[in-house]
Amino acid sequence: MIDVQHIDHSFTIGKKGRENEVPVLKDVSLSVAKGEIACIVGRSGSGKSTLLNLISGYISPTKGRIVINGTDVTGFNEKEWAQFRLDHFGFIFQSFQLIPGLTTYENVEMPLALKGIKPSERKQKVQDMLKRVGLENHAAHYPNELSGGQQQRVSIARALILNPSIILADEPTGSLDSETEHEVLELIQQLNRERGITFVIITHDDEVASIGHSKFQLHDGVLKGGITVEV
Amino acid sequence: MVDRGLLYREWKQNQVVILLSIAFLVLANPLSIVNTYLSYQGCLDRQDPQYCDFIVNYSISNLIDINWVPGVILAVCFLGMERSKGTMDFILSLPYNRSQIFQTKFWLGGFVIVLSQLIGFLLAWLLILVYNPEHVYFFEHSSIGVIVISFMAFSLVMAAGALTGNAFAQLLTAFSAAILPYLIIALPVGNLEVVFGANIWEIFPSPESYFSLASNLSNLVPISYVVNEWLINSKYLLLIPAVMSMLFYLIGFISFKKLPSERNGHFFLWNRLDRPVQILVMAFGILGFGLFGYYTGHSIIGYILGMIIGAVAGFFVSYFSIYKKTKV
Repeated sequence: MIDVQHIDHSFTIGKKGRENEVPVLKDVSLSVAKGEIACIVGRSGSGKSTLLNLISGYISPTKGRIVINGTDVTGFNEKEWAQFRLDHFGFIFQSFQLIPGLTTYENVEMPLALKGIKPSERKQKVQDMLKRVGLENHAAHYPNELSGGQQQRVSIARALILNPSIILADEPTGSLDSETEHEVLELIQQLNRERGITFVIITHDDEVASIGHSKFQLHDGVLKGGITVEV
Repeated sequence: MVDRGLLYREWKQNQVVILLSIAFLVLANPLSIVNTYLSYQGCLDRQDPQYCDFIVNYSISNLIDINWVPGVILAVCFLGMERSKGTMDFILSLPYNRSQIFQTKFWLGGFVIVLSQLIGFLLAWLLILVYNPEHVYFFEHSSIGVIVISFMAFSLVMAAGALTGNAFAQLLTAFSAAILPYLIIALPVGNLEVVFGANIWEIFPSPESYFSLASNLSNLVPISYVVNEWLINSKYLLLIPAVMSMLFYLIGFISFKKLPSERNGHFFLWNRLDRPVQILVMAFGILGFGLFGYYTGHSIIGYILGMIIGAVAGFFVSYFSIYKKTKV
């Protein structure tokens, strides 16, 4: 499903001709199976967000290979990545990133509209999805009328609406209190069980990491080993 | 290039600021005329008509002189705020490439700025026909000029936003670029005058030639167009901000396409800029504070003290603004 093979990534700093390569990721290899919840944990600056950016295609690795759903995406150009993201990925962000001028319904509907799906078809899909995340009574509410947990549920619904096979989540509970965090994590586990969606979660929180079937520890750009639990 | 889905997203994300910008830019020009007309009517109520003139003169302070402000606000909302709030990551997760994202943001803002002001110009023109003032000065020149200048301001702040990782950095970079020619030329020249105890204009054949050169150079300083002194010059002078707009557009477009997003929240997205800009800030601090120190007491001690304070201030300002990440 996601196969990261011997990835190196570095930034260049310094004067031209005397550049210094600052390695961010060093020979990172990991494999995430279909239907797995994989947690990438590490402190700030350990390279976990860079790893997520590489898997998302926002940046390209200096060395190595990334294969997702059987497709080698390493050499993809921007256009190919844009299409690939639309077909395969959903994203959940720490700060929810809902559009303030859109209602809950419209925020969830937006990816469908961008994909060109007919309004009649969209309506049913959005209603089903809102029901699934328990927000059917908040469809007409704007983000500022929702709690943090509800906003993250909208964000999850938006990420799921195109039925992606993989959800990439960057600190999904980072802005939530512990009670709401627990609710959101439970929802992620339920969705993973029901739909077989693969989750790749970036976190520095041990409680979040505890829901993972596998846990990859990054330390200063080096993978310190993964713990895998049977799915 | 510009995508409908992205336009919809930009509209919904920035609806309030776009609507307020449109309202201001549409109304500023006609309201200036209404204001002049009401002043004239007030004069007629108080005084003999022979002492009242109904003259619409755009060279005198006018509401449209600040039409560049909505351009700045739009550019900050489109880039700096999106990076500060993290919503830029969501846009990048949408099925669009970076050039589509930048083009959509840039041309949406450009369209709002230009079209709203053209509507305002048309309304003002109709009001002039209706009110029929005795004289109208600089109407077309000023109205078209502020469109060009506000577009330049928008392009400049968009370019700064494409280079930087948060709203504060965007504004600071845009302001620095707007006064950069002054910092590069006038500040060192002022310091040379202090060090050598001479006036720079003395080395010119005549004071007029010096002032002519200084005036021509000031036309290359973007911030000089904030005040409407450009109105007294040739209309062709507006070609300079027009060319600057294109230059800023290209800088913004290329920067947005090429620079990584994982440095969102940092001052510069291109980390190679950190050190040279820190050195420049310190150098300008030394030169600027040195001049200030000298002119407070006209003494070399004041000059040296000013330079020391400038070096320390420049170091701390640059260190905390450039190296301190504002978003975790």
